[in-house]
Amino acid sequence: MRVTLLTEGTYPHAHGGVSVWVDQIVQGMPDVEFDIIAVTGSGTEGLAWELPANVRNVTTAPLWGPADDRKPPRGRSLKRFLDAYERFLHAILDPVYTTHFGTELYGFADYARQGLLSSALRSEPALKTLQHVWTRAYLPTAASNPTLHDALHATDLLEHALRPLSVEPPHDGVAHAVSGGLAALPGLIASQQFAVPFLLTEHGIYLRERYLGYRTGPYRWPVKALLLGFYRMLAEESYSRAALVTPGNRYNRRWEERGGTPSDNIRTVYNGVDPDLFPAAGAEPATPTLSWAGRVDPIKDLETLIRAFALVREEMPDARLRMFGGTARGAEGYRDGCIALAAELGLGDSVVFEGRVEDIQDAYAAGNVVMLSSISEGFPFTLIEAMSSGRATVSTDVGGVREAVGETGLVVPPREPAPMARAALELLRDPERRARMGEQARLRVIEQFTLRQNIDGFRGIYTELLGERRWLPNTVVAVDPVAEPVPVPVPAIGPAQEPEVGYGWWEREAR
Amino acid sequence: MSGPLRLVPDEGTPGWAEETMQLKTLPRQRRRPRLASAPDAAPELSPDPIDELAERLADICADAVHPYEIAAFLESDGLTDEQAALNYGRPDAFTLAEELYAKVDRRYPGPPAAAADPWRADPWRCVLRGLVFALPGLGYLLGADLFAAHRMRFGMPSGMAAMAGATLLSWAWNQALAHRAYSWLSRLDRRSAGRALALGAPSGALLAATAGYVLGGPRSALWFTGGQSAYLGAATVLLVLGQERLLLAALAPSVVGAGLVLALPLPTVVRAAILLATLAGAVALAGWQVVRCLRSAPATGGSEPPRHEIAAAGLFGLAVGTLTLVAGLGATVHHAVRPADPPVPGGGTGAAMVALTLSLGLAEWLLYRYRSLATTALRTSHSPGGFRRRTAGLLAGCLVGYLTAVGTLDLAATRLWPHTPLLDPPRLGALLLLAATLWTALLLQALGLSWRTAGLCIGAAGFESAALFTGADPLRVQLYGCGAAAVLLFLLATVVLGRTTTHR
Repeated sequence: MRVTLLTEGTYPHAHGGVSVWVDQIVQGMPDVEFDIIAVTGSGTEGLAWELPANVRNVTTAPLWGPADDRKPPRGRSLKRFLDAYERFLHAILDPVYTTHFGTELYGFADYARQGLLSSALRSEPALKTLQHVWTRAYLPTAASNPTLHDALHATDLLEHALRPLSVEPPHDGVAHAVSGGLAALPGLIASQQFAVPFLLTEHGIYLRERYLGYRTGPYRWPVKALLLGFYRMLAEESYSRAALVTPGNRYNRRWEERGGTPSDNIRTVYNGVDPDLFPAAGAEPATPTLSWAGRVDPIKDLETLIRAFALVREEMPDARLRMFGGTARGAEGYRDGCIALAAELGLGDSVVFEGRVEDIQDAYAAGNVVMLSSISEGFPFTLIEAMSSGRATVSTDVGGVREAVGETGLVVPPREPAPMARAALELLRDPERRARMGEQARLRVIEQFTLRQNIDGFRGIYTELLGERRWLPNTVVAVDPVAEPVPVPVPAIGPAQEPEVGYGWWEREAR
Repeated sequence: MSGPLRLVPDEGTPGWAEETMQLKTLPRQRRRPRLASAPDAAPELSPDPIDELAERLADICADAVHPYEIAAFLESDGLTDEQAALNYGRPDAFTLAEELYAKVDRRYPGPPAAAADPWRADPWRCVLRGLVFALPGLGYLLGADLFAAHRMRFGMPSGMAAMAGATLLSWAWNQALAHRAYSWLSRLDRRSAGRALALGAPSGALLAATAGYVLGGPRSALWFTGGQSAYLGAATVLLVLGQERLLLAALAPSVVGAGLVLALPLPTVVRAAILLATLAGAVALAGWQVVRCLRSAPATGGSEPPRHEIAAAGLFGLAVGTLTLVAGLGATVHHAVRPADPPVPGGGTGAAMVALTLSLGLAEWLLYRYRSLATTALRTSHSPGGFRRRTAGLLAGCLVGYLTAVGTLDLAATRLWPHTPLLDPPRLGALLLLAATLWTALLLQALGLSWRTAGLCIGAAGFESAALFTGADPLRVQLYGCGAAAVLLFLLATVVLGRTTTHR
């Protein structure tokens, strides 16, 4: 069985987050041969994970660095590209034309593999095309009065985003994207050109994260509209082409369904931990202690946690808050801000950043109650690990937290210190209740969220997807019901000979 | 940390990713609408709570590019579908977001006020660079009697041919070397830049000195030529590494010496010592800087700068050097080729050359200024045609400004230079055409059109030298050569700089 894992900014070049899960999958199926196509930054990153023997090779698709400086296409070939680009831009900017997105994307992949896409996108005629298109009165971008600088900026970013298209996609096995977004690009091409079943796993919702990230980004409106339009269409294309979409929790289904995934194609697969690696933590500390584990990062909203703890301490002056884990790169300022906040609230030595610990179990064992204060989560490992350790938890109601915790912990609204403090106090004051909850939590993990269940789930899915001898994508183009029925193109099998391959029906129609 | 990548490494300002998730700047507790409790108000229809939400989230909704953006924000703020139903009577967060998106008008703020101008030039630095370009000229004043003016070789004062040949080679070599080192620096690889300079500068100096030796001349002139070759190598190192101040310090003995020479006759030994002091200073400082570079941390995996561009830079240096030498030595060469012809008036050439070298600092400043203004034009233009017109205007404006400055500097230099007549209009024209060629070529070179620029310049230089050596009138040669080059370069510049993509 062969599987190509498609990653972005994670396994095998970065620690944390999804990479932990990818490592579990790869280690957990020694009989499956894995290839990895990793979308990376510079392409010179070292491996952060030791690769097991069943990982055959790692291909990187770097996003950064100078563009390929090959000569852009000329003459008729350029004209054809510009027409395609115009339809592509329309698909991104105008909801009416969305059906063209996929068609043009696959055409672009042919250009990309000939090394022509970057130079074509960066050419002056392509820039003029963009300026021409997005200033058309009927498009929403026109009102924002985009400048040439915006066009240049947007083109450059789009060119970087499309670079993974130049990777040779897998020709067989399963293409398994471990997140949405740019990682999915090679999978989409593999599915369209080689009928390789495309599996999309989303622990978080890539599109939602991009919307949040670009909200405060340094972009003018039209640039943001174009880029997020691209990500939105990419998500929709991925959702509709995927043989199966496996969110890490039910909560995320909403975005996937909204994005056009047929409900039958969504199957939730929960993350899991090895209950033997996280045995019941045993005796609680003598002083009432709240513990937190994770990577220090603004998304974890430690400020709310610290503020909540300040309220707890008003009632319980001997209470302590211990936070375990390293600091995310670039978040050092955030950590310092949190330390300053604790000092400002007069918490003194009762709040401690413990830094990285050898055994994360110690972090859970260190608390009477384990806290999770994030403002956004998928299906957090730290939570199920804490549960497996048999500790009662107080966590914020984000992502799949509610599904994970069930009745075995307290769930509070995010970013509100007072309810969090109340919940923590409730548990700190009631040793019997938290002991009961901790016991139930461990049972819940053993029953529903073990690593074995997760790995077996994916093994089953791989087998299922490969079982169908010739898997065909469920929808290729949405057909306008009023127009003449358009034949659904049979995906091209075998390497593309001509750049026209991706154009298929549109070209035929245009002539 | 694993997670979605930035599209470009410097996307956004430092700490942007961090700010991304810092939603705390927004008013807290904005989730649950306050119940309207106004019993004495007229009993009307109860207000739709979405109005209040739209008001509170006005900024977010106005900046949104899609309802998804609002939905993502609402979710990150803790709003669940249940709450959307309970508090707002909408089936889910998406519907709520869609209604908010429709309800609030978009707003399109202009470019951020604090948009950093990557092309902001420090005028003092440009003055400094102008000085370090021009001050080495004082070396000729100090070294004048090292050239035996009464002996002739190739029909020129002995040693001049060696000097000219070595200078040309140095210019070409050092231009190429500087390009290579700058390319490494732009790849943030100081170590490789240092290595390129450590190998390139001495070999260039050796090459130029050897060329001078082969061309031959009195021993003192050959020593001077060798010294100059070494100085130019060292100066290239210091300029590329941005150490103009150090170079100025190295030049200090020569400046003082030149002042003394004007006031009282100095023996040759003293003059030579002064020149040696400058040379030793420059070489020592350059060596120190190179060693510092070599000691910096190795950079990971930058690709080698393309060789053909380095070759183009070298050719460009050769062409520009030739054009300048023809302007400076044209009359002398003409006299050597056609000894029988009446002498071409050569007065004022020295002042013109001083004006030209002094203006190079300003030329650099104007290059920055042009790029800065062109970036501004990008930010304010909405159509390619408008941008083309704007950049053409800017180009003409900067060029006229530069030529005015060169003319003014020449006038000033002429006044200060003893016994120098003012340039007549054709010779002033030739000077300005040379200046226009230089500036436009530098601009195009800076924008990466290395081969086309080098080609045009080398064409003009080839034409001028060929014509000069076949005995044509040096002034006409310059007017035609530089004239054609200036016009063609200007036309090329208007076309190429009118393209938006040139300015990325």
